[in-house]
Amino acid sequence: MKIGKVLIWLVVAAVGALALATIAFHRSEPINAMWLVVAALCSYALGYRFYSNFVAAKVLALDAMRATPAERLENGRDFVRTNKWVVFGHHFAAIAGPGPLVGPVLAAQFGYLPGTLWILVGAVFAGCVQDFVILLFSVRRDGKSLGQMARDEISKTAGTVAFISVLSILIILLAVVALIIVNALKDSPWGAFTIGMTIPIALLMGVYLRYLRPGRVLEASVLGFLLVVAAIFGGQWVSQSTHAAAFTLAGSTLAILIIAYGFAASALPVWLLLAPRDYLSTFVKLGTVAILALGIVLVRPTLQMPALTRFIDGSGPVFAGNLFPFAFITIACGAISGFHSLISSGTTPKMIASEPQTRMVGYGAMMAESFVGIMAMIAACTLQPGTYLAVNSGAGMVGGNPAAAVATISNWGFPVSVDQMAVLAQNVGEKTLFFRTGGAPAFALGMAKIFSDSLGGTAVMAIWYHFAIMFEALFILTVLDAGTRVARFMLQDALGHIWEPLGRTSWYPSIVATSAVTVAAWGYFLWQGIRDPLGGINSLWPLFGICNQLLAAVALCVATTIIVKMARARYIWVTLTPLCWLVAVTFAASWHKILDPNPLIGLLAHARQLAAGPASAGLTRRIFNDQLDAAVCGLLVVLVSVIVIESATQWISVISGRKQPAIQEAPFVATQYAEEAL
Amino acid sequence: MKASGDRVIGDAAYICQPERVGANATASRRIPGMPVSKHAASGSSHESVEPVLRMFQNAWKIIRAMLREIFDESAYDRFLLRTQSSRSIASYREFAQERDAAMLKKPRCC
Repeated sequence: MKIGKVLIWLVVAAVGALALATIAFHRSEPINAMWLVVAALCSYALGYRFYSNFVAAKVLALDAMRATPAERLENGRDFVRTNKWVVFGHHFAAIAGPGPLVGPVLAAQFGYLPGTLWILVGAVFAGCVQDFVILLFSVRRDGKSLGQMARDEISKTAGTVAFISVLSILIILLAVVALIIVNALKDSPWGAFTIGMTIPIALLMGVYLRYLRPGRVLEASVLGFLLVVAAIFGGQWVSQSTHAAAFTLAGSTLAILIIAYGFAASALPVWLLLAPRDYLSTFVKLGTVAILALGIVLVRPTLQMPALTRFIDGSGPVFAGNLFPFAFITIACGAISGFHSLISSGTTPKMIASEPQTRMVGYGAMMAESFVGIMAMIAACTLQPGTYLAVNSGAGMVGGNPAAAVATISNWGFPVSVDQMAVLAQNVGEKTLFFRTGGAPAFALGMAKIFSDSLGGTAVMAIWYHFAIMFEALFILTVLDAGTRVARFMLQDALGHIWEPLGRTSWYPSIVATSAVTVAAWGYFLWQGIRDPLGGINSLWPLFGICNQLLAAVALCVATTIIVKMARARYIWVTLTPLCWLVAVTFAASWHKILDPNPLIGLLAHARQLAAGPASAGLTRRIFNDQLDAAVCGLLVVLVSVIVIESATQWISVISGRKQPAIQEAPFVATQYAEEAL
Repeated sequence: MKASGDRVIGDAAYICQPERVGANATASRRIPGMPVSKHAASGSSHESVEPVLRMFQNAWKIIRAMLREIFDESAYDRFLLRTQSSRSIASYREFAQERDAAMLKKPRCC
């Protein structure tokens, strides 16, 4: 390396270290958000330049001369050689969802420091690595899915376990995101009207795309976006009119509507609702993330949240549980997400033009996702801590009414008053902001604050707030309808082995039956969350985090097994270290969720507390819910233990020489695009 | 059948399938979405500005290609090329049916 480059990288390292030191050690006064931005950018730059380069060269031995499936199996449909930047955008659009926005907002109850460090370290050494290696391994196996790779490289049992893990995570995920949207929209006529309007807008886009201007998706998306913006202004009018009562919906009503919507979206033709909404949400997502980044750089907000709060001891009102392990399962998508491995082994590997591009697409897109997580952390931490806690805490955690809530929160040392909250609610066009659990309203508040500081001031804060709610709700609904379809498809696939007609994705009775089963499964958990006095998020989000990170453990087991079989066992630590960390985190979190004696954390302890308390309506059901959640958690731990043990057996057999490694790669074929590779 | 006013597949082919267009403009193999700039160095008086303009032009082309890929416009153009059909309601219906199967399996991350 030339001396000039060495100096540049030394400067990047020094600036990054300074920013990280400021974040970590500055305690006397609030710090500026730009320290987080600088620390993140320097960490990503160093991680990408050096660590990913090391993984690419030494561990994976990327080969630019090897033809990818996009070249060998090119069919103009799934397998298409595509420019690396185009694949990057495509991959990023698929992996970026509400997760990196909500997780950091919830974890901000510990202060900005733990979440920020986990996002940066987790992304550079675990999340980016996972996405990168799974993408490359899928490319070398003709674009096989994670489940297929687990079956081929570890064992049939591992493949089955991976399948069950994916289905479980989907069900829990759908329940959680539905709960977030319900909590964001309940008693909010403005929000309910705006989000409700996105359904006819998506239908209109579907008709536009199919009949009026076939295939003009960008055109339709721009049109849809303009209509959604009009719906935001329309929502303001509705909320101040006599129609407000019709759109002021209770949590249970919203839950029923969302369950019905999920069923309809799963059973309706794709072109009518699913595809247009997917396009619309992607359009809004890419634009808003870019605007948020710009807003943070322009406003350079000060972080009001301390570096660490008293809630690291596990007494947090947003969700109960100690810093370890709960901070690390709460933030999934911003640091490492098992779900990404499904996309890295889905459409993306079929578009990669050359092996070295997997580094930029796999590692690079996850860095971008991680940066979205940092922005969410900044948005949450720009709020006054008292406000943040009043919005994000369940009534069961801080008191049943606003006066009790502010008294509890103020006693913790985070002053907030009912009047302050009333003014804030008025500024954003809501009746109240108390007990709006789930992370979405808090994120929307932070985002509205940043946007209104850079454009329009308090006068337009309500518009920005509802824009942010619309932005989150839009892609939560996208996850909901796409996820329901994927889960339904997986269910049909499995049931098809029992009775062939059930596996036919074009047979309507099967579509309706499996859609109903899927929706009933996540609908049950959603209903449970709505009725939970602790806010629902307290039990469901950790469960989702555990599922997601266990899936990441499955992906890392597959990756480690392949690395060992590639005779690269000396580099096994690259995937084994994050795997060990994830196993420790998820198993510890599962133990706490199932067996912790604190009823706010342990599900069984909570069930026992309920059983010992006074009889009340629905008591039996609540006890059963706790036991069901504990059983789901325990089952997943057992399943993943099976994969870990099966994988470890393989590693030991191969490393000790007892077994010849049988790698399932597609045979080497030299690329015809050699001149590009050179 | 060719819908009036529609730029059928020429441009898309240029972006997505240079080999199939048979265009002599693509003597070298190019990756989809990465068209070669049509602006050759001209030696005009704006030489100092030209590299910057070219950079922006290339950046815009990549962003446009990225958006077209994300929003399946390129996929539709590839479909038209593959089936030798033109942009129309009927062809889009066929394309949408083909994409339905893919959408069914397409995960979206949380």
